[in-house]
Amino acid sequence: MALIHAELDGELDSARRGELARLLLVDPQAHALRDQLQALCRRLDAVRQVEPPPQLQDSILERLPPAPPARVYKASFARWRLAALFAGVLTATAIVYETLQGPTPGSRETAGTMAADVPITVDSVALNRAGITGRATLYRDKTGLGIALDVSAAEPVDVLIATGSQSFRIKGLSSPRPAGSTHQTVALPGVRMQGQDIDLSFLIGERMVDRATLHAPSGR
Amino acid sequence: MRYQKPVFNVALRMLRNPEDALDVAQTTFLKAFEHLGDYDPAFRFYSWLYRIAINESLNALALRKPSEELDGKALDEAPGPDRLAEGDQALHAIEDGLMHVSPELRTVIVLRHIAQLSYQDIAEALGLPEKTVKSRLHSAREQLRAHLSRSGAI
Repeated sequence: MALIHAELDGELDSARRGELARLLLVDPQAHALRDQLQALCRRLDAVRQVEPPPQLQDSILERLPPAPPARVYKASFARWRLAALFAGVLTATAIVYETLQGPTPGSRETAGTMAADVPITVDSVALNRAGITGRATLYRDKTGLGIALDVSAAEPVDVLIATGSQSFRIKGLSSPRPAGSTHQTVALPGVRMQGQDIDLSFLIGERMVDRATLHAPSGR
Repeated sequence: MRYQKPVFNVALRMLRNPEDALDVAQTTFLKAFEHLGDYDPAFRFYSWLYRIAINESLNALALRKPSEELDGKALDEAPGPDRLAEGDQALHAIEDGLMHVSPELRTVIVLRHIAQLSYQDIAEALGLPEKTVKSRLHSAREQLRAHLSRSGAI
């Protein structure tokens, strides 16, 4: 019986189709049953879908709760407009702040710094070459070691930080303003650098303009 | 309203009465609208709609008297078999036969052969495992075949 229904549903593979054929040959009752079920399925599949009465749509629309779509749209649009305005103001404020203050630590970093005690300077080196002045400081706070870079430069400076197997690059420190007019600080808390020398390379337009080495003591 | 026709037809084949089918289709769409927030997008929308339609059809059947359920003539105004053309006679026999299959089994046969849903879609619409759907469909076909065979329709 299962084979017959599987055939009706088009789910028989060739092996099971052969099995069914053998069964139908030796069992005329099964053969008759299969013929009747095939005829039944043909008739069922041939039942035509009738068009619903035209009043169906009208009756549904009539009975829908009265919700003026225009007002819903307007209210929704006004809400979106307000949200967009708020987002725009927020973005503009962030851009202005970033432009004036330069890159700042992420919120997680800021939260860590705020929660920490006063950071302790571990090592510090002055930067004083043509085109770039300032200081690179290795510090320790509650979140671990970090590097603070106070850099003044006439052009954007990239800083390549290398320690052991790790290296990363900070792009675009200092905005293109007259030298000495701005100081920018980037903190990198949580970086594991214990007991290693940290090499800093300062690049302007892919040209190295200064180098510095900070030493991270072992242990915490 | 692209689902009007399939929903109406499912209700019609479940109930065999155009007026009842109209009521069920109408209630289905209104309930769907009312509970749109409950719709789980993990399921196909039409499966959800068919589920409402089937439940409403079963509710309508439950409200009927047992004699009404099987009395095709009382439920539709179609002419008797002697006045029907051959194709119509076949349809009439199928409609009549469907009313002799229990509503639970009729549901799967209607969703499979009238709404042309896959086993997966039926399982989704009825909230049943596919295996159960298959087993019910086999029983439904067998009941319908037996009835049509007894009445000489096949």
